[in-house]
Amino acid sequence: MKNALSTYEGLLWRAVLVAALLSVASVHVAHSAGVTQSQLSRLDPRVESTSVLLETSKELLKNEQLEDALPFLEEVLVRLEGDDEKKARQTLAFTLYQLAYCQMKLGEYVSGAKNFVRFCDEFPDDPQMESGRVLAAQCLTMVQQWPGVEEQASLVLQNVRLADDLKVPATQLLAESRYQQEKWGEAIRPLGSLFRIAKKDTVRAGAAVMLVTCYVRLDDFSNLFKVLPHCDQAARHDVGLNVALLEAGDSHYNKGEFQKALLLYRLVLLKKDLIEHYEMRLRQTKQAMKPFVAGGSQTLSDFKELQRKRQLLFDRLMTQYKVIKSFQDYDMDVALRTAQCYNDLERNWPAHAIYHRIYTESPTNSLADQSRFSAFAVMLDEREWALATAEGYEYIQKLPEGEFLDDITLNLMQVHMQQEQFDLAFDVGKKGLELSPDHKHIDQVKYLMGYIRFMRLDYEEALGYFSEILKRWPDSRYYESAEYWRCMSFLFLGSFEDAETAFQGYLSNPKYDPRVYAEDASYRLGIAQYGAEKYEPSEASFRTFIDQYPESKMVSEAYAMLGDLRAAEGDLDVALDFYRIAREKALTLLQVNYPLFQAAKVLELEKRFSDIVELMTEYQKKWGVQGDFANAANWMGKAYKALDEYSRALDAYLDTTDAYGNNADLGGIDLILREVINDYNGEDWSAYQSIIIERLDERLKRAKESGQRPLELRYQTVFVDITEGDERDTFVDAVVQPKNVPASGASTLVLIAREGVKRNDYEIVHEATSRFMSTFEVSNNMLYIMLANLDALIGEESYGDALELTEEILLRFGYGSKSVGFARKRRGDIYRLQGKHEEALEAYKEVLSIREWRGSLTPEALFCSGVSKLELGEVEEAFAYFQRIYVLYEDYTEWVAPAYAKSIQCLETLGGHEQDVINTYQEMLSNDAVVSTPEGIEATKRLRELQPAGEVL
Amino acid sequence: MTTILNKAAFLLIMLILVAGATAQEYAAKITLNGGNSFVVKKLTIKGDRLFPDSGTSSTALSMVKEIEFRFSGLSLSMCDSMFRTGDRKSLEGLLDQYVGPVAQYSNLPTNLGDYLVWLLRSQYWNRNSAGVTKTIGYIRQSKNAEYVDVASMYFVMLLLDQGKVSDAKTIFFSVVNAQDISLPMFEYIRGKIALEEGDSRQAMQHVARIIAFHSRDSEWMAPATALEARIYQQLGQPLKAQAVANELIIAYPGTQWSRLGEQIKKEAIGS
Repeated sequence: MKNALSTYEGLLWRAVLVAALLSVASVHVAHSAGVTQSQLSRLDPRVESTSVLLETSKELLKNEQLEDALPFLEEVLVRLEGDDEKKARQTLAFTLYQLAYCQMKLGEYVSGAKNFVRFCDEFPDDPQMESGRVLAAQCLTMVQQWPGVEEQASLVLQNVRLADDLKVPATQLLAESRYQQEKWGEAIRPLGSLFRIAKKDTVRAGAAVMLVTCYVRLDDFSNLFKVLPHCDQAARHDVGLNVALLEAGDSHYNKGEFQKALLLYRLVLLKKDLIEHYEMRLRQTKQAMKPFVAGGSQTLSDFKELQRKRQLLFDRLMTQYKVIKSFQDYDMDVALRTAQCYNDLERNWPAHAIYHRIYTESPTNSLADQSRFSAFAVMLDEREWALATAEGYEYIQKLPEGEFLDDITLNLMQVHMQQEQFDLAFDVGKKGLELSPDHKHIDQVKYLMGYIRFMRLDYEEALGYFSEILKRWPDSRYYESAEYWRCMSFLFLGSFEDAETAFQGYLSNPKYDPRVYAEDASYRLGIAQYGAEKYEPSEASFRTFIDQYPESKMVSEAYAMLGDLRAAEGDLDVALDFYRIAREKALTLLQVNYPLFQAAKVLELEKRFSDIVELMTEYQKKWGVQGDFANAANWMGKAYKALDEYSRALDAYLDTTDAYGNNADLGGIDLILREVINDYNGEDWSAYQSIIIERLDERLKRAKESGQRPLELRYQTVFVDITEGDERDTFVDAVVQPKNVPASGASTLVLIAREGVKRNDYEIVHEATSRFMSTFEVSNNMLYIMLANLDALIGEESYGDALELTEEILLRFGYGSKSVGFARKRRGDIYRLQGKHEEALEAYKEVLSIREWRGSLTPEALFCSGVSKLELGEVEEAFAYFQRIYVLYEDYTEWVAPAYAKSIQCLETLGGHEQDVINTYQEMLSNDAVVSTPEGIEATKRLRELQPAGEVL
Repeated sequence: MTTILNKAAFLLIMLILVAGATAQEYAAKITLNGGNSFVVKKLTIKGDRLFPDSGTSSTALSMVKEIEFRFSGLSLSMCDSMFRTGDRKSLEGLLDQYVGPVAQYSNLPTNLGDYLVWLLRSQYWNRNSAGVTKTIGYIRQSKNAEYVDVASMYFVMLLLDQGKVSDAKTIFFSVVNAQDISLPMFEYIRGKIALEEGDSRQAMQHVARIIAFHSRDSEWMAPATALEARIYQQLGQPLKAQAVANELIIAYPGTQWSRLGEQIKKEAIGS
C-alpha cells in the first residue's frame, strides 16, 4: 500500500489533508447519527482517497465508533509515513495519537502503548507529547510492563514545568512502577511528591500505603512511624501493606531484632477486621457496577472503560480477600508472635496478658496449648511464683494430655523447690509421672523426687529413687548426681558400710571427668568409715582429703575429725593440736565452735581447767555476741567450779549475762541463768545461796539504774524461780505486764504466758507467744509457751485455733515429749468441752496409747474419758474408767479423789447399788491422802447421811 | 518525608491563620419544640430569649429543642483525624477559634459536646491545665452524663499529674462504668493510681493490658508505654526501662513521647 502511494498521490492527499486539518474545528457534522454500517460497507480504506479516509476517521471518532475507525487511521498512517512535509507530519502526528487512543480505549494496550511511544518519540515538540507519554505509561500499566511505565513517566517528569494535571498522574505512574518493581528506595521520592501534590484523598492514601510499605521494606522505622498516622482506614486495611508488615516483622524476629519485629507485628490488623473491610469494599464495588443506561450523560465506551476498571478493582479486591481468608489462625498467629516479642524483650507482663487472652478466648485453638505454657513460662521469667504456679496447675488440670505437660510439671517442681515447698514439689512430680508415664524429663523428675525425699529426711525412699536412676538411665545427665546422693542416703541412713562402698565406688567410677562431687565425697568417705568404726581407714581418708584439697571449705571439719579420732585413741595432745588447726582453718563460726568445745572436753579430761578458762575467755573476746557465748560461759563456770572457785564461776555467768543480756532477742542468756538457778536450787552449791541472791540483787539493781529493761526483766525472772510466796508474787507482778513483752527474753516470755493463763489474761499470753515465735525459732522453751498459748485459746473458747495448735505441737515436737502428750490430752478436752465426746474419747485413747506419755497423764486421760462416757450415757463404761484410776494409780491423789466421787455418781445413776456406794465411800475415806481433799470432805459428809450413827462410830 | 510533613503542617497553620482572620465562624440551626427551624449566623441570647440575626421578634429559650452549630472550617471527622495524626496543637487552636466563642452556650441543648471533648483532650495533651479546667466547666454545664463522665476522667488525669492521688481517686470512683468511656484510659488511670500508691506490680498489670490489647490506640498507647518504662525504673530494672524507652523513640518520632523516651534512656544509662 505504501508503495502504491506515488508522488502524485502524495501531493494530492497533502492538499486534501491541509484542507481537512484546517477545517477540523468547523467540520459540519453531516451524519450526526454516525457512519452507518451500510456506509462503512461501501468504503474500502485501501482504495479511498486520503481525504475521505481522514473525513471518515474523524466522523467515526466523533461518534465513538472506535473499532471502525481503526482501519482508516491505520491506512492514513501508512500513506503519510515517510512524508517530511510539515502539514503531513502534523496529520501523521494527529493520526498516530488518535490510533493509539482508540487502541487504548479498545483495550489493545500493547498496541496503544507502542503507538503512543512512537508518537512521543517522533513528535517531541507536539503539544500532546507529554500526555501521550502519560497515556503510554497508563497502557503499559494495564499490561504490567513496569520498566516501560517507569521509563515513560520519568521522561514526562523531566519537564520541571509540567502542568499539574499531568504531573500528578505521571508521578503516580512513576511511583507505582518503581513500587511494583520493588525499587523501594527509588519509589520513595515520587511517592513523597504524590502524597504532597495529589488532590484526591484516595490517591494520597494509596501513596501513603506504598510509602509505608517501602519504609517497612527498607527497614526505615523513623520515616515509617512518621507516615503511618497519615494512612486512612482504607490504606491501613490494604492486604499488601499488612502482609508486608507481617513479613518484615518475621524477618526482624528471625534476626533477633525483637523490638522492630514487635513494632511491625503490632501494626498488622486482625484478620477479622481485614475481612470485614474487604467484604464492605467488595460490596460497594459490586453495587457500583450497574447496567448501562442509554441516553445518559455517559457514552457506552466510557461506561465500558469504567466498568472494566471496576471489574479490575473488584478482581483485585477479591484476590486479596481470598488471600486473607486462606490464612489459618491469622489473628492468633500475630498475637502469639507479638507476645513472643514481648517475652524476648523481657516485657513479661504484656506477653502474659496476650497469652492469657489467647487461651481463655480460644481454648480449642491449636495455639491455646502453647499459649498456656508460655503464660506459665513468662511468669517464671518474671519470678512471679504465685501466678506462675497458678498457670502451671491450671495447665495440668485443663490439659492433662497437653504438649507441654512434661515441661510444666518439671518447672513446677523446681519452683516449689526454690520456695522450699518440698512436699508440693514431690506431689507435682508424682502427678507428672502419673499423667505422662513417658515423661520426657523422667530421669530429672525422679532425681528431684529423690532429692526431695532426702531433704525430708526420708533417706530410704530417696535411696530408691537414686538407685532407679542409676539402673534405668545410665546416660542421664543426672546419673552422677544420683550416684552421689545415693552415697549420701546410705550415710544418712546410718548404713556406714554401704556408704563407704558407695563413696569408694563413686570416687573410682571412670565415667566422670571431671568428677563434680569428688571433694565432698572424699570427705564423706572418711565420715562413713568413722561411722563404720573403721578408724584407721577413716583417719587415712581425712588425711588424704586434707592433702588433696587443702583449700577445701571442709578442711577445718576434717581436722576436727582427726582430732576426734586421735582423742578416741587417747592421744589427747595430738587431738588438741588438730582441734587448734581446725579452728585456724575454720571458715564459719560452726567450724570454730565444734573443735573449740571438743578441745574443752579433752582439756577437762586432762583436768586443765585453767586452760579451759583461758580458751573460753579468748573465744568470748574474739567472737563476742556472734559466738556461742552461753556455752563458753558455762564452760568457764564449769572450769571454775572444778577449781572450787564458785564465786568466779558465778561472776563468769553474770558478767556474760550483763555483757549480752540487754539484747532481749538473744537466746543463749537463758541457758546461763538456768545454770545459776540450778546451782541455787541444787545441793552442790547451796552454801552459796545467799551469795547468789546478793550478787543477783546487785546486778538487778545495776540493770534497773542503767535503764537496761531487758536485762532487768531477765534478773527478775530468775528471782521468780528462786523465791516463794509474797516475794515471788512481787517479782511476778513486776514482770507480767503487756508493756514488758517487747523487752522480754525467751524465759521471761514463758513466765508471762504461764502467769497470764493463771490470771485469765489471754491477750498477754498471745502477745508473749507471738513475740516468742517470731524471735526464738530455735529454743527449748518453745513447747512450754505453745502449751500456755493452747490453754489460753481453750480458755477463751477458740477451739478451732486450739485444735490447730495441738496438731502443730505434735508436728514440731513429735511423740517424744510428755509435754506433747499434755497438748494431745488438751485436744481431747477441746472436743469434750464442745460436747464432741466420741472425738474426745479418740483423743484420750491416743494419749493412753503412747508409752512415752505414761505417768500423771494416764489417770488424767482415764478420768476425762470417764467423764465423756458419762456424758454419752454409757455409765457402766464410765464407772470402769474411774475405777481404773483408784485401783491402778492410787499415788495420783489429785485424780484418785475425783475418780472415787465420779464412781459413786455412776453407781447412783445406775441405781440399785446402795451398798456399793457405801462401800466405795468407805474405801475412799480409807485413803488418808483423799480424806482431806474437797471430794474426801464431801464423802465424809455423805457417808454420815447414808449410814446409821452407830455404824459410823 | 520530614520535609513533606513540615510543609504540610506549615500550610495547615497558614490556612488556620488565614481562616482566623477572615472566617465566618459559624452558623447555628435552631430547631423549636414544634419542629420549625431557622438558621442564625450569630447566636444572640438576652436573658431567657433568643434573638434572630435581624428583626426584633425573639423566642423563649424554653421553646428551643436543639441548636446545631455548623463551623465553616471544622468538622468532627477533622478533629478525629488531626488528633490521631498528633496535630493536637493545631487542633486546639482551631477548636479555640471556632468552638471557644460559643462554648458558653453548652448549657443549652447543643451539639457542642463532642467538640468540647475534642477541645478537652487536645488541651490535656498540650498541657494546657487552665484550658482543661475551663473546658471541664463547660462540659459539666451541659449536664450530659456521657460527656460529664469523659470530662471527669480527664480531670482525674490532671489531678494525678498534680500528685493529688486521693482527690483523683475520689473523682475516678465516682464515674460509673468508667471502663466504657475508654478501656485503655481506664486501665491507664488505674495503673497510675497503683503506681502512685507504691504497688508497681499492680500498676504493671494494668499497663500491660493497654500495651497488649490497645496497641493501635493513638491516644493511650504512647502514655502507657512511657508508664511501663517508669514502672521498670521504679522497680530498679533500668535495662528494661531502657528497652521500653527505645520503643518510645522509634515509634513516636518527633513527639513529646520520643523526647520522654530519650530522657528515660539517659536516666537508665545513668543509673
